[in-house]
Amino acid sequence: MTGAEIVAIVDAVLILSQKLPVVIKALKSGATELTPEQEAELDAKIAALKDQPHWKLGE
Amino acid sequence: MKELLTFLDGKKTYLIVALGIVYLFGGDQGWWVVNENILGILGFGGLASARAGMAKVKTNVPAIALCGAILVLGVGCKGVAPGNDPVVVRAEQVTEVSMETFDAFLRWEYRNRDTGLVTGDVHAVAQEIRRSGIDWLVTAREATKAYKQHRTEANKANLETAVRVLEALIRDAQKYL
Repeated sequence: MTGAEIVAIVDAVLILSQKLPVVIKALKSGATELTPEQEAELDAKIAALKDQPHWKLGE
Repeated sequence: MKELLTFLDGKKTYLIVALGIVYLFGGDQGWWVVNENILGILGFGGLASARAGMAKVKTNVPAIALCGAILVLGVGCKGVAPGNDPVVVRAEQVTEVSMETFDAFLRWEYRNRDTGLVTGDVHAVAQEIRRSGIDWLVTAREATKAYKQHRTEANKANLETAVRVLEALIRDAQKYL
């Protein structure tokens, strides 16, 4: 395994560790339907994805 | 002991998920052999079959990340509070978790394109998510809103289809990683 691959693995762990609390929170509160405010927040997050550099189609 | 239990209060889910991920990560790195019984004890029995399907392909960390999300989806399949529609709750959970999973995967692929871990197949899956991922999420959201407004069988069927599409996309993505 190369150094770059090890860095990539560490990066994946870091990204996952950032996402995990958000996902668990979503599922914990998932026992109820989202409120209108929570729905608006989710819609805003989805709408904002297209502006993120890693979501640009590129080549 | 009491202090330990107090400390763990509210952190048990995080701990179990972290244990599951570390266990799978170690297995993929060859540090130990993953035992399906242990996955079952951790409450991830369903993951054992999913992982078995991945045995013939090269697995790497993004696959583990996706496993983590699916694993969390499994953990999250608990009871729905009275007065709440399970179809809506499930749809909202799947949409939110799919969004976070797609975002995590694309972020990782974008940052690590120069490494051997991002193969052509991985890049192709990422590009497909970039092309259509937002549309899939928006479709699920629109179907959820339509069903919440008018809880008809037709709207329910549309919503369940949109949710199944998102679930299938995450499962399909695993095959390429």
